[in-house]
Amino acid sequence: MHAVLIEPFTVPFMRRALAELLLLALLGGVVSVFVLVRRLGFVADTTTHTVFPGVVIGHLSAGAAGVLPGALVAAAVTAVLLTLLTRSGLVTDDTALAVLLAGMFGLGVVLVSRRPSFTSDLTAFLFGRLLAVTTAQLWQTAAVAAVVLGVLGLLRKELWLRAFDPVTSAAMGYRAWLLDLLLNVSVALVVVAAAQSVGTILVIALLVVPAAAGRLLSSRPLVITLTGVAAAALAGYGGLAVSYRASVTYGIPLASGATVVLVLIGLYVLALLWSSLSSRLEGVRGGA
Amino acid sequence: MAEPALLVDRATVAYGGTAVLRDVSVEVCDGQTVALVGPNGAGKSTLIRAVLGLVPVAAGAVTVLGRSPAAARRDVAYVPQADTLDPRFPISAAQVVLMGRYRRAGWLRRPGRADRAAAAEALAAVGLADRARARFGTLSGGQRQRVLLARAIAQQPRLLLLDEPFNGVDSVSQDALLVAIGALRRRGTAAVISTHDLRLAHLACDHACLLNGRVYGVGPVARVLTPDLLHAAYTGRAA
Amino acid sequence: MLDVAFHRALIEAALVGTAAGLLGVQVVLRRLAFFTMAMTHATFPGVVVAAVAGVSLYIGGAATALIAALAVAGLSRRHDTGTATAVALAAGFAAGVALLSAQQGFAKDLTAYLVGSVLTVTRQDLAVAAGVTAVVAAVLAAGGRVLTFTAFDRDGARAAGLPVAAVDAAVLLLVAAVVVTAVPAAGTILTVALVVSPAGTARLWTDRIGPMTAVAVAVAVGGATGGLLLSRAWDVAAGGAVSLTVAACFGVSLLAAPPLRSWACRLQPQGACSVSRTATPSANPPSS
Repeated sequence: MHAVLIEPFTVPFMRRALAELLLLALLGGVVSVFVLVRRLGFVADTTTHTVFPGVVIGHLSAGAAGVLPGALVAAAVTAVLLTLLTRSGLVTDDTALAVLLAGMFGLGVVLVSRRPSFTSDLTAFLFGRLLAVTTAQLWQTAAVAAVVLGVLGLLRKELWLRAFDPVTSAAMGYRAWLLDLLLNVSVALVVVAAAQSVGTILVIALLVVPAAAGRLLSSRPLVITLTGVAAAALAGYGGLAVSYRASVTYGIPLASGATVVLVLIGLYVLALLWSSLSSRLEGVRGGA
Repeated sequence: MAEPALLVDRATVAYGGTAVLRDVSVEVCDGQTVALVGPNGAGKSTLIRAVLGLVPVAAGAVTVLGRSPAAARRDVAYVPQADTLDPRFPISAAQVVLMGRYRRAGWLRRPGRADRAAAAEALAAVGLADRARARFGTLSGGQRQRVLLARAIAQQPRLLLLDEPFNGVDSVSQDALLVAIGALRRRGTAAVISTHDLRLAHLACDHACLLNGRVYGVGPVARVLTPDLLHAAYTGRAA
Repeated sequence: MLDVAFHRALIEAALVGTAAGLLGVQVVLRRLAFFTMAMTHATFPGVVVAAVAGVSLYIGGAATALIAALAVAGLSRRHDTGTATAVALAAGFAAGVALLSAQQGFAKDLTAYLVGSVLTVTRQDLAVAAGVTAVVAAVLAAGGRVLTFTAFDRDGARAAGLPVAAVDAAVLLLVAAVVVTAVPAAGTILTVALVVSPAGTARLWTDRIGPMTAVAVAVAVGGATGGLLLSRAWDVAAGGAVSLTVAACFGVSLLAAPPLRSWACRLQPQGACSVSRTATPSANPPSS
């Protein structure tokens, strides 16, 4: 057990990777609850793709230092376009999202495909370089987490009302576009924070699965949030340990980001089994 | 005589060039309860949304408590139809009622002890004090409607707008709603209730406004909800 | 040699564009854009396993697409459809990436999967694409009216004795079939782009299903072949160029269609037409 659970994290780069994942677990666990109640799964998926051209342009114009600003600009553009498109009412939300996703990702691909290092660049964006996380990146993630958690914490009752009963929220005078924009920007910031380290594949899972798992076990917002954060943290720890063990001992180079997601999905399936089992037991007890 | 709680003066509301409501005039005073009666698609919800300032008025004017609808929102409470809300939403009855206090608590602040007390009192007023911790979606349709009315009560409004509150509601909940609405009226709250149930319009309201694209009659219930006027409104004929 | 490959690519683009344009109208009307996205990601693990096992990529992709579609249907009973779809998408993609990362040549394969390798299509690929296009066209021609009815008014269709659930399942199967056919050649993002963007563009110009389908096919085929030609002229990735082209069509239409349509409206006798801002064609205005 010790060899699997403790030993991997005696190496500094593994410790940094774990710290990054735990930060993202806290961030993703909390944001995913809002994504769940506002049904922003597709919005989150779209944002993970639309940040890509920003990363490419940033990298082309200023090297590694340009990635974060580029991603931030693309995220801001996405959040604004999303809010505008979904409020225009000309096409349904999901159509607008899919077009935006494919169009902006296509732009990123076109730009990056002119470079000789095309495939490795694209792969880095999709997977991140979790094991190469620097202390500076950890601080960036912590800063994003502080901003996003602060904003969502302060606005949680307004966001909750907007999600539950949009007409009454508007009737009370809350500005829907402002609340939507703030939440879209928060989602985009999580994507930006995570894109460099864990890549976009992990982000969509992190923005959806924790709260979905928590929702299976409880209908109380606080419990959903705590369960989600715990599941994401556990998946980060477990996935990292497993992928390390697989590559060091068995020579199988499992992508660490994908392994983390698979562990998270595993926890989700456990929650699913548990909730259907307990509801069945309740049914038996109720019937008796 | 003070300002009426609600004054709709020859208002026209249009969606995309087509007028849904034309030349509508209604007045609601403090302590008055007005039934908004008309067939489906008559524009009842549209009129309520115009009073809430959620749809623009193309011509004429809507004045709420002497102010524009947007400026009066703090003193206006809206009760949506319960079945328009997601029953799976993770929220308890007490949390729904507490939402009525949000505007009082203000942006960024958590509701305090006074807000919680007001919410508990409102939930008791609709007879659901014992269901405070139940998830909203696990309640019956009638109980959900009562929780939404409790939220409006917790808002302590001067004007209350209810959108088809009796739709698909069992008789126990119907009675509880009628009792709570009556208590509000005695406190001087003005109310507008849209419904197509004439019996309940008689029970809950003292005045009525007969609507189908335009006003077919407005005044005391007994004088408006007559067979002749109803026939005219429901067939859309001039009366 | 290169020209043979390029000609094949053009034919593949035209075939996939036709199928995607035809089906896209149904996807847009039924709000299946996110489901389509999930399908493209869910075929991934199947394609990887099939490649390793040496069986047809189409069979592998179809198998996991089917599993994912069933997962979405099952999970929709516990969550809203968007969350269920996002969970299936994250799980499918992570599984594919983990499987792929255990192989050699990881980055290159992944890139091909995402942006397609339309220049390597074989004659068999063309035959499969032609077959699926024919099936989609046949189903739409035979069942167009039923499809429209069930998409627009489910209760009414049920009351009229139409098998609504079976029709839904058939549409989902068609989406899966088009995705499985298109992804190996065109890549995930391009597939989504070709299914949703042309139909979304057509939706902006007309409320009637027939003309909408015609415009969608024209935009899809034109965008696919045009994007391919552009990609060769400018030496950029074909998948990116095509999705950017169709997204540009959508963007231009978004700005141009509403004013042009209301101008055309004014030329007609009063009440003869109106520019709807609603999602479904000829849906009721938000009255009552």
